[in-house]
Amino acid sequence: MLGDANVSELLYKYLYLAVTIVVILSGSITVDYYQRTSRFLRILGYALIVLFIPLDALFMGILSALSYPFLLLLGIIGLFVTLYCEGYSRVLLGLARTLQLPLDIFMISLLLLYSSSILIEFVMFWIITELIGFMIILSEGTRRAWNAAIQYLVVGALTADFSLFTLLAVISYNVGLDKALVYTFSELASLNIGVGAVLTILLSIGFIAKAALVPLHFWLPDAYTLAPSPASAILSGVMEKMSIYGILRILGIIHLDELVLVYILVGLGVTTAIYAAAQALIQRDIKRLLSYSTMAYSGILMSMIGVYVYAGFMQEILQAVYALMIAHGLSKSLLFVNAGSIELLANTRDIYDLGYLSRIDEVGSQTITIGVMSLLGVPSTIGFVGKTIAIIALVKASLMGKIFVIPVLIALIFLSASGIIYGLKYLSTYYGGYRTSPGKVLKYYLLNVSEKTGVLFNIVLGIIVPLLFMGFNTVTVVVMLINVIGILGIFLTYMILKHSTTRIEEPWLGGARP
Amino acid sequence: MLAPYLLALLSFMLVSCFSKSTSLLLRVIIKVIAFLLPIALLIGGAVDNISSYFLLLVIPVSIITSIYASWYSNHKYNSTRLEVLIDLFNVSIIYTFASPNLLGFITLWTISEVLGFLLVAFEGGPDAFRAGYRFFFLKAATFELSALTLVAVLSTKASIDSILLSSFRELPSIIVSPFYMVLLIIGYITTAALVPLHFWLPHAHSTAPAPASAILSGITIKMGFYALLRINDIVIFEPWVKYMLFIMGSITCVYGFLMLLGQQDYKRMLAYSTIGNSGLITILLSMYLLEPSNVYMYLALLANIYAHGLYKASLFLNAGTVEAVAHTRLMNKVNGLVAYVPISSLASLFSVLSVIGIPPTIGFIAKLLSIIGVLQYGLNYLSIVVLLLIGYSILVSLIYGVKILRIHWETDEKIDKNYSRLGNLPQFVEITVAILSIAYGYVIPVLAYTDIVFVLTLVNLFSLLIIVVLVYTFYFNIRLRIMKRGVTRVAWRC
Repeated sequence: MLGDANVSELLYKYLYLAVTIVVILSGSITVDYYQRTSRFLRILGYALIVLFIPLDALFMGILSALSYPFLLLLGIIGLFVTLYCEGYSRVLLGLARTLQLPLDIFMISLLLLYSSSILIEFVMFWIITELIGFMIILSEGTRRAWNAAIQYLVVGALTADFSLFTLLAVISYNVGLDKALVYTFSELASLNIGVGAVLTILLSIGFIAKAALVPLHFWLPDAYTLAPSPASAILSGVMEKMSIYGILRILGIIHLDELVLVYILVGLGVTTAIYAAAQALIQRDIKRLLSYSTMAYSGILMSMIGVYVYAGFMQEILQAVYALMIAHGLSKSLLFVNAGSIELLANTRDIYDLGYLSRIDEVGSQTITIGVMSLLGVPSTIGFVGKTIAIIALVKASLMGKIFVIPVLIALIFLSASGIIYGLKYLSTYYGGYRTSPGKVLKYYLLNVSEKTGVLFNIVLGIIVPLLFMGFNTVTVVVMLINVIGILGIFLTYMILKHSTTRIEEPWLGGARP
Repeated sequence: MLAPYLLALLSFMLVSCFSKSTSLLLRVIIKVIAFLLPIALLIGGAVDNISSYFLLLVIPVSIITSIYASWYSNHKYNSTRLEVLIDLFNVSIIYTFASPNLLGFITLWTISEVLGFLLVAFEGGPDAFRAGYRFFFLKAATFELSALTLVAVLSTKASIDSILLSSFRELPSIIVSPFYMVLLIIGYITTAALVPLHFWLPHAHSTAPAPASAILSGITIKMGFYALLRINDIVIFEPWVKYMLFIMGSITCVYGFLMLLGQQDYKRMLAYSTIGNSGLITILLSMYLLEPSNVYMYLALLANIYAHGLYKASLFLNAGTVEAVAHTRLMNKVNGLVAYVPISSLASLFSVLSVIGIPPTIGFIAKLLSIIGVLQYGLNYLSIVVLLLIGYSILVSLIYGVKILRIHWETDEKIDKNYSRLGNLPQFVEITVAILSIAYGYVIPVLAYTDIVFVLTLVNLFSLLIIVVLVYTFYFNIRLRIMKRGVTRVAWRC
């Protein structure tokens, strides 16, 4: 059944994964007893996830290229969110492990999902991840949390299971259940299974619900708002991307009815992007604002996948999807982490009750600045890379006469424009001055450390990512150069602001100086 | 040949002689020994596969419920009478499953009927008595009818001695007319509570004391399926019998789960869910009988029996705890039990996982194996009906699972209610059954090994992660927040 080659490959993969999982789990179990060791172990674990990518690409060759961007995203976001979660949980609940262990296990299940190489792994880890996500959303335990979690489970998760079981049924109809479960993805791809319009809709509906596209979108803001903030960072930064992973996986296995898929993805994606961007403008709650922004970006990403299929599987658009996805994941998880700090410092999430935080939280004001810059796509951050590459790829496709690209481009521009407004609105929690400062409030140092790490990743990856995914060409070099110049500019501004002493001028109302 | 009877006698004597002992530990040890004695038969080779598969479920559930009964009987009735009755009932049931020939089977089953009547009518009063005699006359009368018919039809082929005393596999196989066929299985249909003969069940299960209901629902129902599997080896089932079982099962499944939705009483709800599940298991049984070569259907049948036996026992024990804490069983009047019996709440959570069919529980394995088993037939009218019924049962299970969780894990504003506090023993007993329903997920590969079963077990192994998150979310997070609510606001600042 399972071929010998497959078995040994799986064995190597699970050996590596087992080491990673043991390192992460032992880190998160000891989080309250041996703090330093625990942090070291967890950082090592998430670094091992990132390290898995070059190891596999150069030596092992078990995973398909599709897994790499997702693993990169998971490793990097996991690294700073796991540190943040420790601080957040310790401040909020007294014990760090209350939230730390569930969150780390959540990321482990995501790791297992993203590194799956046979169909049964994909299906089962998907379902496990959904269930763990359900419990993490539930962790507040209030009636609102129950409602949000059940809404998530029924709309966001059960529909995906529906699609997954349809996938299993389609494949086992062709090769039998025994083989369907244990074939690798490449073996399945070589079967050349094709399906019609109805099955295409059934197969994609779960991922549409997971990406919160418009008729099935309503679960997302509640779920992301009620989850603990570090969990929201993971939900928005990594878990949201499961929809992209799933749809690309299915595209790799089965020949879907392309026209129907394109209509669905582009139509719903563009609608979602515009609707959610408009919704984000009018939110008062910072986490709801970020949730709607997540929904908008997920709409754009899904519609770009539609364009990717429509343009005959054009590689550049796929790279643009990856770049935009990584950019959005990093910036949004940084902002959610920051939203958690705001909760802890101010005990409110209402934008109009805030506005004084820059005076009591220096690190946070840097975080929020870089985070919003990255979200908007200002040079020197990863956000710039994502947006630029996406726009270039879309323009290129539209120049090739692909008319469907135009609405996606318009939606992206609309989203960027409204992003400026809600980005500024979000910034005003620190700089807006709606309320005066209540006095001095201490911030736990671990929160600062993790936020700084996140900022660092947002900047550094802006230089690395284009090279990783697009190779060495004009576009990447230009993007990189602009980013480096941007970083220098920011650094200079920072140094000048830090070292220049403000001159205190005495009032002079004319006449001779006294 | 005498060994089963001697062992049964020994077990009966052990539990009844030591029942007056004041030391709980001694009583528990004696019980465990008495219930484990049939394993000697297993080692001696007198017990065949079917019996041992059922004993795998029956013995642990018996031990656990009888330990619970020793607490419950003392707590509620301030005596050990209930405990003794339950122990005797357990022993009679265990030996019914373990007995290698018809004589033991019929005798011990009859004893268990009498003891069951005493248990159902234990509370006293006209209601309990009516439930008791309905239970006794319907079940015992139909069983005797079926058992004696079996002896009668077999006696045309062999002498009465050899029929009663030779082991099941040595019995001659026969073909009977439809009239005798109906008489032959009517007793087991009543035991399994299939639709025209189901009406004794809700009353019996809701009026019996909680540990007795746990056994009645968890194990006694399974005696019907055990007997049907046995009879199948002796009498040749014609297709119409199998289709009749299928139709009765489908009607029972729809009826039981539909009636469940309107119930307010915790135990009555569980009783109707027993009827529904019994219908589902009958469907799987008839599918298996239609094509005995389908190994997945056989596994699905066993897994469903294990799953239902374990979670229903656990939930009925839970109903006993709820009753003892809140003094009522009406579900809309009870909430926030996690502040009083946290471990029991955790146990109910695990059982509900198994009810709904979420990995890594035996309930998940059972649901998945049933689907795989049904798919082996290809897509025809029969299998589509079964798939729809499985989907329907999952949906209803979801609804009543959430109802049960609400009793424990949801609170209105105040958590200081006039509830009683309990000791740890009942809670630990409950969590043991709940953990068993997770552990039994790993038993299936022992019964039969195929690639799919291996993959399923692997899934289950990874799904243990879910349990960890579950415990952390519910026990360390939600419970603490509920407990804290009355005390102090969460400190936001550091």
